[in-house]
Amino acid sequence: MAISRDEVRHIASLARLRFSDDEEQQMAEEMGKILDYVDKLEELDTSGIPPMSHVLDIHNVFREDEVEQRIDHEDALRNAPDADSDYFRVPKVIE
Amino acid sequence: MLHEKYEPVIGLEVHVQLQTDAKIFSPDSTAFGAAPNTNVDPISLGHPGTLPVLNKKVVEYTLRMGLATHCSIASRAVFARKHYFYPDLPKGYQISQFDTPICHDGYVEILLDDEAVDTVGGDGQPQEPTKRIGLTRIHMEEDAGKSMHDRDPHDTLVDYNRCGVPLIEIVSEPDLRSAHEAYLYLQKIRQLVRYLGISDGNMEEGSLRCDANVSVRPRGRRQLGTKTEVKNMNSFRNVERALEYEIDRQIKRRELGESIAQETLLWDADRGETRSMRSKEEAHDYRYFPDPDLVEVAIDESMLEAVRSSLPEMPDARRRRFEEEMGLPAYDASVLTEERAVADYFEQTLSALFKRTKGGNTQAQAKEVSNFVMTDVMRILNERGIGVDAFPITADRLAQLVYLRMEDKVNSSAAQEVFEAMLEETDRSAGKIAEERNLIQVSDKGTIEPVVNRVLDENTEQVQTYLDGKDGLFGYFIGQVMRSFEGSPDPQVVRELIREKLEARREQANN
Repeated sequence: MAISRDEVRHIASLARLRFSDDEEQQMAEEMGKILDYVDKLEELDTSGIPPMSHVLDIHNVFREDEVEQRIDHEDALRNAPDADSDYFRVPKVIE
Repeated sequence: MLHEKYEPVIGLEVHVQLQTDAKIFSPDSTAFGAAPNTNVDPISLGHPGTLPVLNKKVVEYTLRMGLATHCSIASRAVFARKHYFYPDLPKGYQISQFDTPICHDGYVEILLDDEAVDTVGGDGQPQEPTKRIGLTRIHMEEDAGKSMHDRDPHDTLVDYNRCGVPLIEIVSEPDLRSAHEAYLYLQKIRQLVRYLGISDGNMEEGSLRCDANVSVRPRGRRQLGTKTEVKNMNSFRNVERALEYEIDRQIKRRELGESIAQETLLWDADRGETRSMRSKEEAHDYRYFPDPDLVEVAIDESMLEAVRSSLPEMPDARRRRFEEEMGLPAYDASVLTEERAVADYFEQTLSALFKRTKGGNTQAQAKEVSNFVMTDVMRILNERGIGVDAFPITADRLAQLVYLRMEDKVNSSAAQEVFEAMLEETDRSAGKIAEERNLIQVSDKGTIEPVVNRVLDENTEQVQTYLDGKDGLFGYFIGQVMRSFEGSPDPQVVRELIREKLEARREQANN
């Protein structure tokens, strides 16, 4: 199943990625191959089989509603590219 | 009228913050109002390599709401990633639910008031006082952080305290037909979450948020008009105002033959209008897929049963019980059950009163307690801006006062005075306060009679004028007796005695 360069650009922009011309071409080819493989899987009759959401056959993994402070304010801001004493700072965004 | 020609069609998406202690997928606190970026955790900050684990209480709380709103409960619920880039969402996706919401296909009933009934159909048919509003779904998700754009000229500042606070999103069917119905529906959602103890439902603090899908169509037509989405309505009053404005705007455009753009609008409360967000009209492409970090939630009958047995009596059932069993007027029942804590207080007072009266006319007693709670108690709650849990007169003590009043031990103005005193003197009983202030009503004729005799003896001139035909003086004698009495004589007894004594004197004079 062929993927167009436009589709690659659209998906890349959704993921905030930018590719060179060569990379775009390569992506289009590789993504096409992945979709071909998925097409192959679709040959199987899966009617009546509930969709699987997780590879592990376990469910109901819960934590209790208990508060634990594992990092403090300073730790939280330590990894930020930009911060002041209170806030994370990012380039101005207004939707 | 243009508004009779068109029918508004409204659906609401309501987000409710659940009042858990910890966040939905991490153990950091959900406390409101903490210093910025102090209630955070590697998971809520989206650090690489961290794994979310679901807070069990979120599931319980969501099921409470689902059961209370007659929803079908999914046997398996899956979390999905909803992708978009915005700095308030550090992972680049929000964990939400997509095609397997935990609750679906429910309804709530709203009680239409006069205003709402007027806005429904103009066919002259009597309208049902209640209306059923369908719920499409209720799902669980995490809240985002908070970004501030106007604090700094160059940067956006971000606070992640709210990031990961549990939310439920409640999506209604497009069953609402006026701005006022939308308001009533939202009030009902607030009432339910507060009754269920799963949220404080505070719109001003953002624990209840509401977006609306609005369209209008000519009455009688099935096909829906183009809808707009209205956001940023942050109070109950604003929801009604914004929707009224938007409905009006759409009708006017249609009348002028102009089209309505499908777009997102922001309500500007200061200017009283909706404005286009003017964002790039690139359709959102969230690329939902099941979150591989979280396993399925399987809801079995035992889980449901545990939640079901924890549900309190819901407001509608309670309102009906107040009407049917206690014989309260519909208005009283509706006011008293609006808040669960007030309804509890009312019932505690009533049962404390029953212990004193040991029977009798229970409906009259219910009405008397209702009067005290609706007028006196609620007036103080409003004046002081407090909840009934902070009200200084306990249910037991209020019952003492109601009992004094019902037994005619105090008259109504004395009851008022005792009530005011009880607000301050929280360690004394109503009876003690009434006694100390000489407010206990004296009904004993033997005690009142000498005072009546004395007053009539001291006012021979007025007695003569009265006997000569000036009936208006009767009130004067009552006033004199009440004033001369040490304490509070029962006005009824005073009246009877004066009449008796005056008639006796008339006969004496005639003989």
